[in-house]
Amino acid sequence: MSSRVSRISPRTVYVTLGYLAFTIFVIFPIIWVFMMSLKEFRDIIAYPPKFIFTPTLKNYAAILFGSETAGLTTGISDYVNFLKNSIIISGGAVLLSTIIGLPAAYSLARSSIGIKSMVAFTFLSFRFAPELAVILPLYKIYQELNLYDTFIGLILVHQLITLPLVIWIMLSFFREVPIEIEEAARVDGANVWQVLLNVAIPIVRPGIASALIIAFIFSWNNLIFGLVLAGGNTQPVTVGILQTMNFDQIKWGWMAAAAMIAAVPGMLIAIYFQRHLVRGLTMGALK
Amino acid sequence: MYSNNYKILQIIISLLIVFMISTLAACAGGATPTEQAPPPEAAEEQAEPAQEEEVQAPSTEGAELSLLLISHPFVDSLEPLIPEFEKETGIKVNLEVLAEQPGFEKILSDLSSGTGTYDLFMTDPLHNWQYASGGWLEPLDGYLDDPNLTDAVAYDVDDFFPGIWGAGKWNLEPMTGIGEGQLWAVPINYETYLLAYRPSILASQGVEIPKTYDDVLDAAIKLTYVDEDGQEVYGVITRFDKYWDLPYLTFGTMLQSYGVEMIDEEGNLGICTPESIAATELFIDIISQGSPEGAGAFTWYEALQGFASGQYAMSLDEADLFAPVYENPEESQVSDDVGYALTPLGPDGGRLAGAWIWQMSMNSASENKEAAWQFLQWLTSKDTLVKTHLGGNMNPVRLSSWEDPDVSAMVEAWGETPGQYREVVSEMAKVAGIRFPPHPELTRWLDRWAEAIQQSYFDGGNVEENLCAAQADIEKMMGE
Amino acid sequence: MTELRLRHSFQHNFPYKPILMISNSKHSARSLTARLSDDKFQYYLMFLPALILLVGIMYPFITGVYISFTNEKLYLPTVEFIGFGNYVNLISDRVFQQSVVTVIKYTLLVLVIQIPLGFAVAILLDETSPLQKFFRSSVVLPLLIPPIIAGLMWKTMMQPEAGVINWALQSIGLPAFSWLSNPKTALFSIVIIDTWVFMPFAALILLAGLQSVSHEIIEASKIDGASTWQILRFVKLPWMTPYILLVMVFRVADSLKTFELIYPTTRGGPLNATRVMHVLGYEEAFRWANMGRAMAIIFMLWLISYIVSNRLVKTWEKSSEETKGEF
Repeated sequence: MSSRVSRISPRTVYVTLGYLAFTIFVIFPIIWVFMMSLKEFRDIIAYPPKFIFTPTLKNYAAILFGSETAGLTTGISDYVNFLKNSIIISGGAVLLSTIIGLPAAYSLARSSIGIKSMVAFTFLSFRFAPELAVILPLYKIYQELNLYDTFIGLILVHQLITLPLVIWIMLSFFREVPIEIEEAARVDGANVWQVLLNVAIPIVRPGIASALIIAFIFSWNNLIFGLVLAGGNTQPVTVGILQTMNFDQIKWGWMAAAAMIAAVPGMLIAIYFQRHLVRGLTMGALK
Repeated sequence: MYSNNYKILQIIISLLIVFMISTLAACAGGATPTEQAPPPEAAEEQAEPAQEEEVQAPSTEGAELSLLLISHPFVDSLEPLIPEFEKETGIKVNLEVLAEQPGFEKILSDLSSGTGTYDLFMTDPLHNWQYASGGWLEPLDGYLDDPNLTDAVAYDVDDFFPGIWGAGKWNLEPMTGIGEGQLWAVPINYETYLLAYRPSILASQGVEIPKTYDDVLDAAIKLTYVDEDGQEVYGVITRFDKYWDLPYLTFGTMLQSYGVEMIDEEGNLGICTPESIAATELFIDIISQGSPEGAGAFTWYEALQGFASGQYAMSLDEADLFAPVYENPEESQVSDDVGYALTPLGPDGGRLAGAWIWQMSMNSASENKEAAWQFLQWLTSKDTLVKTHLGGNMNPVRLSSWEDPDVSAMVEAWGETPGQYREVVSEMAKVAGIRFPPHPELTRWLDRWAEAIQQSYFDGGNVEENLCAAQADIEKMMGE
Repeated sequence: MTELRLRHSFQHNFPYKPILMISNSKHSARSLTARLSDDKFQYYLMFLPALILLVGIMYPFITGVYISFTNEKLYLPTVEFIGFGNYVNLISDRVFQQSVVTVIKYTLLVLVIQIPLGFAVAILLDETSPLQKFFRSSVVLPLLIPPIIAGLMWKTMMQPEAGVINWALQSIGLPAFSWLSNPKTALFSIVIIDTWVFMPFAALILLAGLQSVSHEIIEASKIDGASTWQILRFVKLPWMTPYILLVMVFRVADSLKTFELIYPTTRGGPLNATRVMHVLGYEEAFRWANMGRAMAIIFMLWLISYIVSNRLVKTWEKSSEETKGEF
């Protein structure tokens, strides 16, 4: 008789190791920079790198409230301004995309193929095109139109990111709305707008949420639009971090803190809103 | 129940409103933060404190200035002084400070956009050749000569070193005319190059201060070792980025000491000459033997930080104005153990050095020009400059600044022996100069040259081939 | 009543085909055809703002193409038409050629690394585990962080002298790596950062694919005696082809136009090791003030991306239909 030996199958071992490696790879950089944001300057430059240290909130305080440290430039004390700008730009972009994109997606879902299909694919192609192809000429055009370094200007350009997302995601959701319900409403005498507003949209509400969230985060994370078309008044947080970063060692703590804060929207979404992520990421091609 | 037309009307109206708002906002969007226009010039005096009063200023009170500055010890020294200016003049000043490379790109994109977001910005002769060509700089002669705006006696233009003041002038003719023509900028500091060293490390390894560049190579090898604490010490640090400042300034100093001229009177390029090749080969040797692996990508920030961190024995041909950082115990580990020496001699015993001048210029699209001039005048006045020098802004561009007792005393203490810094800087100033053709595309040509040098470092050789390829490319670029 | 029945049959002819219908409804005096056209008009109206924006975007794009045929510089007031001058110069320019090669190398590396890795992670995630939710959340994390932040994070960790990665490598006896400071290793290092950010994307898509395999077929295969490995190879993998292609579509397009991961991290250096076309275009405009040349570079990039993406999307569509047909 064999004694009872607890067996761990090789499979479990591989899977566990896989999970471990994967977690370390994915999570470690974030944790490392998070730690850096809590370190004193001397802990940051210490070598060998320190994993145990006394944390401090000085870095966050410095960038959020602009504390003065003797002899150091405080360019990063505009950080709160950058955050505000990002909120305005990304929030505004998503808002505009909703107003324009929802009806457009609905119309695409319900009308016959033809020029609409071509147009829809043109929107898709924006996702794949190098941004500078539009942004660089826009740099000149915006100057003439006085849109350079304005929020309206940036909200309009960010449509390049948010509008295709909203349209294609909502397209896939609208296609799932049962036509019978809409037909019933038509019978009751509703016109297409009313069907859209009172029937279709309430049904696809969760889809709208996910489309907006994805659109917001991609707009927030974007660097290149603001880099070319934003100036001193409208710089979003991504551009702000790039331009004030000079690898002056003393500032690394600030950089880490700034990075953490800028990553907060993304992290929140990863934790709380991952349900419809796949659909959003593939522009509606997958559910 | 539902009414077709009513709903449609609603929607059309809301769309129209959205479009109207966007257009209105677009038109209004061109406003800059500097809201108030300066009142007319023939103005009354404002009530200002009696001290430091140089100017009968027209009332620019309430104006707002935006400055774009490049991260630099100068900016650190300027910031505490801003509230003084604001109080005196009632002009609000906003600073934006960027790292060097993104900073220059931002200045370029902002100037070329013509929106006048920034009234003043930090610049230098090299970049001004491009900016002036684009018509983006406001000529300052008018403001300087206007007795209503400038107190000529107090400002005392002659107090500036003539070469440095003249570097702000250019007649807009490519390839000629530095020092002639309109005044495009006022100088804030200037730098030239020297050899900084750690007396204790040199002593511990029995190495003398190198006299020639060959000596530097020997010294670099001997000075790269592991010390008692197991820490690595490297012999040499200097910037080595694929960036125009390499052949223009630091390595440029070595090149010029080897007799290399970028372009001679006949218009021949000197990039691929035997002297240039010899200098480049030796330089690469020095870096390979005396610097750590990441040295191929060091910018001046890394060079400054590196030496201040104490890991390097020598800082080769690097900016003299790093001294205030080195000498400050809060910012460096080497404050009590640093010395300054002349840059090494070339093979023929020659010594020449590059020069760099930080300046401030006015945006021709600025809407607050008088207020901006007031700031420039205040900034480069004798008193303010001295205060910045005491705050770490080197080197003084006014003769009187060097004579100021506080500045004098501060500088006296720098170096291994008293007065060493001042002596070295004065000597180097005699051989420092801008020996390049003024041209809006010069940075592009120099970038290409720097690429060849960096390439040779990573190739581990091929210097002649790379330099000659660069020369051919640059000739092509010059022809366009 | 008549109207109701007619409407019911109308339902099955969706989407709208112009069907002549007679209505004797008291609600509206207008004929159904008139009503249909009304609907069509409404749909166009719904689409109109988006269309306007679309046209609006075309304008800068076309302007950009035109600029690429000029010698426009930021600091010169005059602009001249020079035909294909910029293009000819670029094609014979060593740095440009290098940027094309670099971006192609980059894309291939990304595909070769991220798809198998994403697959492995997808398989992992397919396993039920108590920590499922935690892993799914953490998978997405890198994807949702601004790429510039990701670049910064890795840049600090990848410092050759004082970075934590090299310290970790050396602690376990491996040699230090030069990461971003050596032209030979810089591109690969950026690909690693790219993988960290985007491999989750591949994993998520492939996971969706794995989880959508019909359970009946799997059960049937198991009954037939197939091993896990055989199921993987003959059932799951063919099913996965459209998903893999979909990942390729996005990854190829994104890799060709990489900018935000590279520019803040290395600025295209050291030397020209990471100077991909998009970065070169930006530099040409804002470092060397040459707009005409910059637009030429970017337009060529656009062309490459457009052709390749189109091809891939068509392949994906075809594969999608085929697979759905089989199963």
